Amino acid sequence: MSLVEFHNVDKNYGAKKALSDINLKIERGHIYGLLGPNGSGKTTLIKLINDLLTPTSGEVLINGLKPGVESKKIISYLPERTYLNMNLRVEEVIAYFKDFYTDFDEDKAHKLLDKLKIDSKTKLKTLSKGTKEKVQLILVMSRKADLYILDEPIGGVDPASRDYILNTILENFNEGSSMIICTHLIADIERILDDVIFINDGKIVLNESAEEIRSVRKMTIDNLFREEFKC
Amino acid sequence: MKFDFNGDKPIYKQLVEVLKYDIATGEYQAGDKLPSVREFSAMFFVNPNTVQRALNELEDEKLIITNRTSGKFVTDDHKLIDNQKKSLAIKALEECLKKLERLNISDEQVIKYIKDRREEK
Amino acid sequence: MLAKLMKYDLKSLLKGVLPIYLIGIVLAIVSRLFDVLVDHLSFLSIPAGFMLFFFILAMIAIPFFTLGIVVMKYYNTMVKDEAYLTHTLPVKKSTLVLSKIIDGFILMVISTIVIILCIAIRLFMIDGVFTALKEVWLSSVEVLGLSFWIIIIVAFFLGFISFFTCVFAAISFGQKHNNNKFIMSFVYYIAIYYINQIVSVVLLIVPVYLNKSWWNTLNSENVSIEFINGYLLVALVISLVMSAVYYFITVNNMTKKLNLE
Repeated sequence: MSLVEFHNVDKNYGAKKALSDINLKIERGHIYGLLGPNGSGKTTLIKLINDLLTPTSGEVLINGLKPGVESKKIISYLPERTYLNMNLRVEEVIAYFKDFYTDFDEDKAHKLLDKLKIDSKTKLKTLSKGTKEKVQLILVMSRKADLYILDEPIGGVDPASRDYILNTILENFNEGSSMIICTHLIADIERILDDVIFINDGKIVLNESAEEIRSVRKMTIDNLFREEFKC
Repeated sequence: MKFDFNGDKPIYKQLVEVLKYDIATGEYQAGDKLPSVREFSAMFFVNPNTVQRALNELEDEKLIITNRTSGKFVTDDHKLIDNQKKSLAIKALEECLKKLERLNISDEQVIKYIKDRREEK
Repeated sequence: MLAKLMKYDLKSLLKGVLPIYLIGIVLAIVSRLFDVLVDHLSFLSIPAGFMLFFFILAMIAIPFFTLGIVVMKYYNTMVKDEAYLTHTLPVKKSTLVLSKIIDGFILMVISTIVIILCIAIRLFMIDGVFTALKEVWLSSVEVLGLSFWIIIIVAFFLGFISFFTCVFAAISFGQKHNNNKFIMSFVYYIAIYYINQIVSVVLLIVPVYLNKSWWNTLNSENVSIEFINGYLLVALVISLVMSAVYYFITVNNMTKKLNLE
């Protein structure tokens, strides 16, 4: 039984088909890149795994169960936006995560925040945009989850911060856990991917191992993407 | 340290080469404990499974030994490491000499260059 | 889980309402002081008047402000950006919505206590006021009975729950739309309001109208307090049932028809 399974999933918003006939398996211990242009259905697919949407038809299974309370316990999700209560102090957000997620590692979170010299008494709203995003990443990576889902973790961030973020992801990634990274900045992350999923117009157009692509097609993932999604 | 791996060739193979070189140059001495898969992963900025695959290949060649409880270690076999050093050196030389041949540089010119360089030091 | 959710939300809500409650208390004290000073310094009668005016304004503002804060907090945490955190917590949607309703209820109770406190401060040691109030209370209990007042007070507090279940249900429909979620929520609330009116008429007024003996009793001069109490109790139960219906509708929409931006 795979960690996540999509069986013939459709998702429509009224007349618009956001996802068509998605069949997908996410295995344990792999890092997946979910790559596609804007509007391709990436976010919809992610929302279905997180129980933020229900399929129009077909089913999504996580550890064999429908998305719900149990799946949320083992999934750590970093959305593309600031989703925390900005009036809270850093230490209050940490307490919040500790309270609701039994797999939250408070020490790790503090260690990572100390490295960034963020005082835990700081109010979130006083932090810069980049720092806010790093705090959110730290919270997500401080959980010992079975599945990490990162939606555009490095979009709109300066190169030094990008390095920090990717380094944090690799250093704190739980062995045996899986990860799905949604991004359009492929060149920056392709080296850390096990598997590559291309999605376009609500359909999966490719699902292969990154090293296979390199040895068989002799291309970088970035170049393959450009070829597949030529305008 | 981020190595510029070629994204259009399998990365694990390139990583194997880098690690062989590191062992041969003494970056990791005989018997040294190697960093964990996760540490390598962050160091080289490469997928952990890819790191594991590279380490497995080095283990197949007996350059690395895995101790189930304490981690991965460079082999104690100095002779093996020396052989590795030799084959890497030969490979480097062959590449270099091939390039020089194409540039029509003779063997004598190469030897003179090496001698002059040594004297300067 | 319910307690955990409530702990954090209440903390946040109280931080939001504290300013206006403090203003109310300060105005009560200041207005009372001006009251005392006016006896000795009659030129202060105009400022004293203003103080009284602002005090009354604050008393009216407090409940509206509290309602507003509860609804805005609900909207932000269940429909806007913070919803991405709320809806991915390992918590049942039913628990989530219930915690918000209880939070709203608690806050309205607190706001009621604050208003009573402010009025008590404003009337502090004014000759005869408390005696007069006590007299009014005792005579009304004599005429209408304690049960009547108990039912009225229960109805008052149940009204808060009814309000929040209706608003939350309206928001749960409004968020289904891709655009103009806030405006659509407002529209749905108006629709729910009218539905409630129609249900009230159908269930409360029409049966009485059709039952001749009840109608005659209500119109006569001898209508007993027991009859009125019974009638009010039925209205209360209907309100409670409708609140429950709106609650389940909200939970269903937020589970199966969630549509975050």
